Amino acid sequence: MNGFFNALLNPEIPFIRFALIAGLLSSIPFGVIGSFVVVKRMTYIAGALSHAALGGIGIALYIGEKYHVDFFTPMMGAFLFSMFAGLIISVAVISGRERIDTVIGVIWAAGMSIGLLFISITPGYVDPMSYLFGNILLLTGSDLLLISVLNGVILFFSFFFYNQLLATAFDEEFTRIRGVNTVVYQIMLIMLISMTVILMISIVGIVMIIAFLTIPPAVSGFFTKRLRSMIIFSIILCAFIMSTGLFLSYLLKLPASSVTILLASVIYVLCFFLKRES
Amino acid sequence: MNKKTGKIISIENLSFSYNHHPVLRNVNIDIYEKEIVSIVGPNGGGKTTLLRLILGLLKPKSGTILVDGRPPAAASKIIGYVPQRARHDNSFPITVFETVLSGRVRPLGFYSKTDRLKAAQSLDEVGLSEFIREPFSSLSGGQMQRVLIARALTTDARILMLDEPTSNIDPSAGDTLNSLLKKLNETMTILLVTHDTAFVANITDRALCINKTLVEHPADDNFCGMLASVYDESPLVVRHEKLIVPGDSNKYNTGDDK
Repeated sequence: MNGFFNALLNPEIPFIRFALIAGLLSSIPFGVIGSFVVVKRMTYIAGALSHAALGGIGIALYIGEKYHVDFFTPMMGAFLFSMFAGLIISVAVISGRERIDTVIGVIWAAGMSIGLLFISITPGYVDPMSYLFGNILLLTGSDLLLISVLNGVILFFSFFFYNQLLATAFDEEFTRIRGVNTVVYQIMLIMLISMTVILMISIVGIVMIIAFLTIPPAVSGFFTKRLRSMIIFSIILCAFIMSTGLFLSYLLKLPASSVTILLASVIYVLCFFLKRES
Repeated sequence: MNKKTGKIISIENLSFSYNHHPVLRNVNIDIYEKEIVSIVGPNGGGKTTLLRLILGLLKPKSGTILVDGRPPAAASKIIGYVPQRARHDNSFPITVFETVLSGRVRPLGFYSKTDRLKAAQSLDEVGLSEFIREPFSSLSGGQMQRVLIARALTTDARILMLDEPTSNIDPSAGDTLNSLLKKLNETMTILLVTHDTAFVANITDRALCINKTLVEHPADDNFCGMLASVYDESPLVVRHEKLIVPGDSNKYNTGDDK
């Protein structure tokens, strides 16, 4: 255990410290947005947005390598692609004309296929696993700054529009009759999910995003009966899982992302049975 | 007992269709202040569509709807709406007070002290003050229905519109709801969509039977028997085409000529 704390405090190896700070900071968007994802049963929307981002990453990597366009980074590609996918899903949800599960399935599959296609034709070797599972140990100071900005944006919207988001999530039709433009709040929520997904891809990877948007809020949902409490408990639980997962991965010398997701999954299963027994 | 005072809802020559499929045809009806009016009819007959048109959630293809002399969208503040409880996710993490308070939600901003006071008063009005901190999901079906009525009352509504208020509640909860609606009717107009003809007979002044067209019936002690004689079975299988007097969509043949 001492080795882990020594590594945390060692100025020569900042990546473990950065990983811990990133894990703790990312608990805020995961807790806040994840709680809305779980109560609105939007897990598959989050899944589609995160996988669609791979399409943007692939295109950006290809253009960057082939045409030496430096400013079009994979992060920018993911941003454009996820926002576009978010808009399509928003239109489908609001219009109600298409089966939403079909739209989500198409975006999910098409995004991944486009991503893998462009990665395969990109000159040189690109490992798609790094985008699927991320690597929290490769973060830099600028990544931490980006997460802090995202936290600011998410806290701003979720604090100032909490009542409208809660009312819309609970009863969209009633809230619309009360004169609230619920379309704006539905789009706002999907865009906030997109933003969370985009920034977290580089940190924890596509697979881990789905795990952290759903598992901590789902566990919180077993024990809380208010959305506000669910959000706070999710943030705390997410921070605990992130830091413990990082510690265990250091101790066991295993990949941090996989260990953290497995730890979260074990906690979910234990709490599921604990809740059933009580 | 004739309680009619001023018109509060006026519908003229209203027609509506979904994707060229007619749902309502040439509906004409006036609803007066402090009336209790029920809308009955078969599934898919247009009951909920009529309710959604009066709420301003849908726009008529032709004809007019006026609520307190204004188009529905401009009159939303005087309408309290209680949707079907089945539409709600009963596991949603929200307390009774938060549910009622959401009746005061505005496009922007936080709840004020007045909003909180009004929500507490509304909850008291439906007799559920003791459950203020309880999770909404822990209540019985009848209690949930009363909480949703409290939410609708937070806006000082003059019209209360309820969609299937007695669905999935037990008979004693139905009696409590009946008493509550009668008490609220002292100051409000009540319009309810229901399949429960016994509830209609107990509480309402008039019944509007809808299956694309609208036929009006008095709702008295003989209501259920009268409906059976007019429609052979029940309003759930009504075919108004047999009853409509040519030239007047709202007059029905009482059955003598059937």
